Amino acid sequence: MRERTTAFLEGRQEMPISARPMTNKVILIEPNVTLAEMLSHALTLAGYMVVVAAREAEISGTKLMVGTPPAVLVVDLYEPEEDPIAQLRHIRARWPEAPPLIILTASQHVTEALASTERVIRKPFHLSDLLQAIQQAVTP
Amino acid sequence: MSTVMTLILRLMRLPVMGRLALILGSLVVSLSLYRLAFPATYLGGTLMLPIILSAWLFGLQGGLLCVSVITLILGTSYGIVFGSAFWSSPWYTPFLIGTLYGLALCLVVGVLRYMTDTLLGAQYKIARTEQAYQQEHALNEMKDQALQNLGHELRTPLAQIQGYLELLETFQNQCDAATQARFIMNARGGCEELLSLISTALETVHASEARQSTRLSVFSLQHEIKTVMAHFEPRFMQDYRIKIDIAESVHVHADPRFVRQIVRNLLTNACKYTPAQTCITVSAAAMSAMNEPDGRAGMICVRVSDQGPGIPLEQQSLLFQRFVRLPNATESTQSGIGLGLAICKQLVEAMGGTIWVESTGRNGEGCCFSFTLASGSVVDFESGETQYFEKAKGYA
Repeated sequence: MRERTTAFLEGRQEMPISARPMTNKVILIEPNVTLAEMLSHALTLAGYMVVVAAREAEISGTKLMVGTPPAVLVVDLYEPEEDPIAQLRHIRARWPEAPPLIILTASQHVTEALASTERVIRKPFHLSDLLQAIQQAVTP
Repeated sequence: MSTVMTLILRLMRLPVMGRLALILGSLVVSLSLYRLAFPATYLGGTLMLPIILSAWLFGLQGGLLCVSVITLILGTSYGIVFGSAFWSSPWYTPFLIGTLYGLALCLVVGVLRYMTDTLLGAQYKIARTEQAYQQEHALNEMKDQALQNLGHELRTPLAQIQGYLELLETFQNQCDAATQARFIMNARGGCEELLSLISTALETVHASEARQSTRLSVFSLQHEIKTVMAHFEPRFMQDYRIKIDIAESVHVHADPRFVRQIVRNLLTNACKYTPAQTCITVSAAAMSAMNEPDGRAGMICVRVSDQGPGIPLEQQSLLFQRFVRLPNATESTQSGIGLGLAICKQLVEAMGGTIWVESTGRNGEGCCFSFTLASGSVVDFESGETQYFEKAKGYA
């Protein structure tokens, strides 16, 4: 399990299956490796180019930002270890020109706090809801 | 004013002998002054001090006893000086008035003391009720937090299961057999994680009831640790070299269920947070009186040590609290809700032991979790033989 997930995060961010032509780039910030893998599979199969980072600190100024600018940023606000609101503020501060954000969270509190300003999807979620939210975000 | 009040209230809390000494001292001084001034001046007022003190320090009964003693002493001394002529002497009236005045003062101070006692008692009751309320409130908050945390942690593996199943359902035709198998395996991984979380939550409930349900017996520690290893997760057994360094003769007086669970939790943690292919050692030895002067000498110390990244000193105090996951743990890919070590602490303490961690916090130097158990055997120094604890205590 450890080797598989580590290998996934270290290099193979693009999944072996690519059913549709990739159009939009989605950056996925997901600290949970298994969830990251699942979401990456789903987004790739749905036709997005997916770039995964475990932490938001990894995204700015790295290879993740090179090339096509991302159309959507999907962020899993990891609770309870970190203050998710502060985490979000940090992303906004470090990256003022960030694309539309879609927040994943397991917390009722975070959902209520951010629902008016951000697109928030609460875990456990239907993949179709996430894909729909991304579709809405990328549609001009 | 508040200083005076504090002093007066502090006098009440003096030990009985202290209070008696204070009253006797004031009585001697007052009587001496009275006697020195007699018969030139009447210094009856000085005798009020021991009466006030005794009524305050011992209540109304104490005050009445003091008035009686003073009346007796003065009456006897007047009788010696005046004989039967005392009743017609000029000292009779002040003596009588002084006695009545003393009685009245004793009554007033005694009632004041009674009211103070009642007030303080009521204040104490209120404080206790408030404390009980605060404790109940904190307990409720902790339960709410526990439920919230559990709910939060359950949602992630649920999202994983649901996500992979939905992937299979939606994109089945676009995935080859190997990918489908992998999706199923990951969904199953989520199920196992869910099961593990629920088991941990239930263990916490059992651990909090541990003190009531402890069933102590004497058993071989090595045997129990081997039982744990026999049922330990195969993936951990493959990835780590787990060494048991416990002599067969080491017997402990503990609850075997608890010991198994503690060792299992500590080993699981060690496997979760240390690099694969490193060595994890479980050892046990009696603690020596030289190194352990604080009463742990003679107990058996069980240690689980690893070669992982260690735990920074400033974080070590947080380790055994409920729902605490250190930054190192949260950054790792391992799941958990921060209950394993809290459960260990509860179980160890239920058996009368202590648990602690030692680590320099330097990467690669690892950490060592230790806990103590009562020894199951005692050495008979006359015969040099080891006897089992139960036999030595006459339980067998």
